[in-house]
Amino acid sequence: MPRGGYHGKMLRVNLGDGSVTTESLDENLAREYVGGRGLGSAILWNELPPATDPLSPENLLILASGPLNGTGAALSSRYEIVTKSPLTNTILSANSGGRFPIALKRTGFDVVIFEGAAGRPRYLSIEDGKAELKDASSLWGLDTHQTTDRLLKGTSSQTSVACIGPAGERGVLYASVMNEKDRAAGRGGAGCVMGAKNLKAIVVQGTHKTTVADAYAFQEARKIALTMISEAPITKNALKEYGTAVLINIINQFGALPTRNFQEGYFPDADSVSGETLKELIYERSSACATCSVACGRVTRVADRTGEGPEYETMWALGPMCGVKDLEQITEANYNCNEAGFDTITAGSTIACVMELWEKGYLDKATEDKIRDELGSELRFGNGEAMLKCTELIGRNEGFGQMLGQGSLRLATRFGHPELSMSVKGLDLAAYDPRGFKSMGLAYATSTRGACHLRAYFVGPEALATPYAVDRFATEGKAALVILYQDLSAVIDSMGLCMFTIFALNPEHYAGLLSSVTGEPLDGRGLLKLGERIWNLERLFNLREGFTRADDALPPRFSQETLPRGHSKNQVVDLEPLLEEYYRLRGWDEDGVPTEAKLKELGLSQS
Amino acid sequence: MVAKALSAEPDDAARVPLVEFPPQDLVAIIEELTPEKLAGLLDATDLKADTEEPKIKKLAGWALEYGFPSVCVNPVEVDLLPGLLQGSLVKECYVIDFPLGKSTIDSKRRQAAHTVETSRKLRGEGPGKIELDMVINVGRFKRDAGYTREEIEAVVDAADGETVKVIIRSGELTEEEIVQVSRLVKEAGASFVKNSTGMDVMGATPEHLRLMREAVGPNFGVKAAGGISEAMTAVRLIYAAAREPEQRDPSRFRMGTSAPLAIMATMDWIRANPLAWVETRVIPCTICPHGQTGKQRREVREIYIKRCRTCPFRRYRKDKDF
Repeated sequence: MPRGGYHGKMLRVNLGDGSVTTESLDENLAREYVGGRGLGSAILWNELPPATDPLSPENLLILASGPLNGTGAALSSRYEIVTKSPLTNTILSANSGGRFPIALKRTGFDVVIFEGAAGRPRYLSIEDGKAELKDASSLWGLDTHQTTDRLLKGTSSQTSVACIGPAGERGVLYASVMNEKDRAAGRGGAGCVMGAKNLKAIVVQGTHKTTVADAYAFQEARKIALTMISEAPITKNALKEYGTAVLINIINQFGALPTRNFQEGYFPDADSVSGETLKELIYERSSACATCSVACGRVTRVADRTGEGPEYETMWALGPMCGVKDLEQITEANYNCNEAGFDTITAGSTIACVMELWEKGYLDKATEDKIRDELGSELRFGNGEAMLKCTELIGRNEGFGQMLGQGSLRLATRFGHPELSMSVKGLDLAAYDPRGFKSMGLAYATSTRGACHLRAYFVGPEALATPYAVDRFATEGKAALVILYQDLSAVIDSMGLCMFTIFALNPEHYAGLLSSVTGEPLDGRGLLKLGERIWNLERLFNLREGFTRADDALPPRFSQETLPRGHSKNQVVDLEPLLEEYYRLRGWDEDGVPTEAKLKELGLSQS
Repeated sequence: MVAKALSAEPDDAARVPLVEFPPQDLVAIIEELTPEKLAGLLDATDLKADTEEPKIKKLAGWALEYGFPSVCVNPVEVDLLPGLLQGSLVKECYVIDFPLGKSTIDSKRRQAAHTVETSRKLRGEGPGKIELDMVINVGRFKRDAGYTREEIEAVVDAADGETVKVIIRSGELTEEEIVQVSRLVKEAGASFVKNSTGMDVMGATPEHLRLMREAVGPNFGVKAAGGISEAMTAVRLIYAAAREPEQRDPSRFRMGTSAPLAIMATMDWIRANPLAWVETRVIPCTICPHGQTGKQRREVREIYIKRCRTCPFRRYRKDKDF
């Protein structure tokens, strides 16, 4: 086992027979896949039979911490849930912050694996190395806030809860797992898997410290990282001052803020839903994950309701994406999503998809009548009241909400227009129109969990001049850089660090942090090689599940329809040349399958 | 397309400014620049009006830790900076008549002399620890180059052998004037010609830096300043004004920056895949002086607008926002 960063123990929980066993962590897996996303993916690859139904008891739900959790490194409170996604059928790793990741690490386990399904609602309590499944019947049906409050009653301040809400219990395919009430492992439906297993919550508390192999080197690396984070403009000023929603006006100025289901890239009323306006009208205070100096979280209040957010992606998905400009309606819808426990991006995108189907006359009359009946109005762009009502219905998975709870691709396909689902592999795109940021098109198309912006946040160079400004419409050299970002992001997620560190740190900084904690020598290139291995493993998983090159595609809108106005006007995405270059540079064949030589190079060859 | 070599007539309307760079040349620069070498070209700078003591201490700390050649501050910091850098190789750099350059020659002389005298007294390490970045009176230069020569000579004299860099505020000059004043700086006995205060109408552009280098020759000092906050900008400026490896020396090329750590950090990003970063080109207009006409003097603006009309990259200005 590496000399630091790991407790060397995994907890395996069989929900079917109620057994809880402790296992040793495979030290080779720790070395080769780091932790968090990488380690969870490797375990899933090794243990999950191909073509497993994601909602069957056979699916695994893996909570994995990273080696930096609990070390005190800056922005080091992130953990990953890894499973097979019920929304996309791809590999899924969903990431969340708050205090839960460090509390999880302090239990003394690096990884918790859930298998099987419980016959009745259960929750897992881990207290300082001791784990026990408990009855959760009285919690079933409660929302994430109520559940958290109930489970924290009478516990110490070091205790933390991750749980699902009604959305996860009732099978919303993009249900999330919430910790600290409003922090979400949001995308891809990990909460739905948890609900299918009758697992309501995980309560963690402990005192196990994370060992650091080279304390002196770690303090140096930590100090440098802190300095960089406190000096970089985005982490020093923008995120701290206005939260992530500071991006609304910026991305809108680029003409790449997806509006009305990506029909436009410019939202005239963007300022009314911006981070600046949020601060002026509904801001209560900032909030931060443990070990974070940035504090991008916003605690807000609308009428008698309070909660965290909306952050940028949520503001966009429930706002401009649906043509809605009412900040209070968006904020309340965000509260609904968090309390019921489901992904705000997919929810907003699915509602927007229905709005377009409605406006184009693609819904059948029975469905239109049903919607009108349940919402009290037509579901057209700009109808904030209807959008808000939709989030309530999704949370309860009732009526029309059941249809919305399946996500945009299933819904649009049902009405014969899958092209109106703005998704890749079934996961909806995030708040950056690829016609305005060409690399994001490639990043969305090749992301291993579907269209995710965080698998390669190339908005940094294309919009925020970080690490430096590049021509956002050019394609030369972009495939190589998307690969660089994908590999680096895979390691950041595996170390247990926040993705926002990417605005301040470089591969050498990350390597310095990781190697000083684990004691394993590593430089920037070696770190990226770890990321490349993780990325290829995730690719192999998806190939094994039947995904092909045809799935590395954007919705046709992006190649066929130009943006009508704004500063990305007249742009489309020509993905094919980018994709070909991407495969070549990845060492994959023309079908997107890693070559034997590449697999051997990465130690992934099975022959 | 690679920029044409500097023509004999800088005002040639068809001339394409230096906005594109041969990828292999930039990669060669990146690979040759070790962190130590890069640090040796960066003057850690803070010239803001509201800068307070903690920031000066922070800058000095960075310079000592990373090996920046100097810490560049306003002259008022001369009571603080010498003590912070005492016993090190890091030089104190003070700006003279900053940022407008509109004081009298005598005033510049006295400010320079007082600063040098005070610094030497407090630091107690003799000559060779100070640099002065003086600003010329651009308005006077346009009608009387002799005046400019006189003010530079006055500061060089008052500097008593210390390095003098001369800020020419290139954004307010025509290209002929940039060439002319750069040569004059060299003739007047200064050590460096520097493009900008970082507060005037234009920061560092490769085109202007190249003009300055061509004017003063390969061995004279050229300093870039204004808007340099990440490594790829730095690499382009190095290509423009320190293309030969022997020019990448603190005595021949410097970059003034308030973000030296960001430059060091982003260079490591680029090192992870130099060719890809280099091939992902910058939008030409963002680094072209001809595209920055908002606050320029009329005679300069008219020349640049004319150039924009014939530029092969004009599609960027027509269709895109950057």
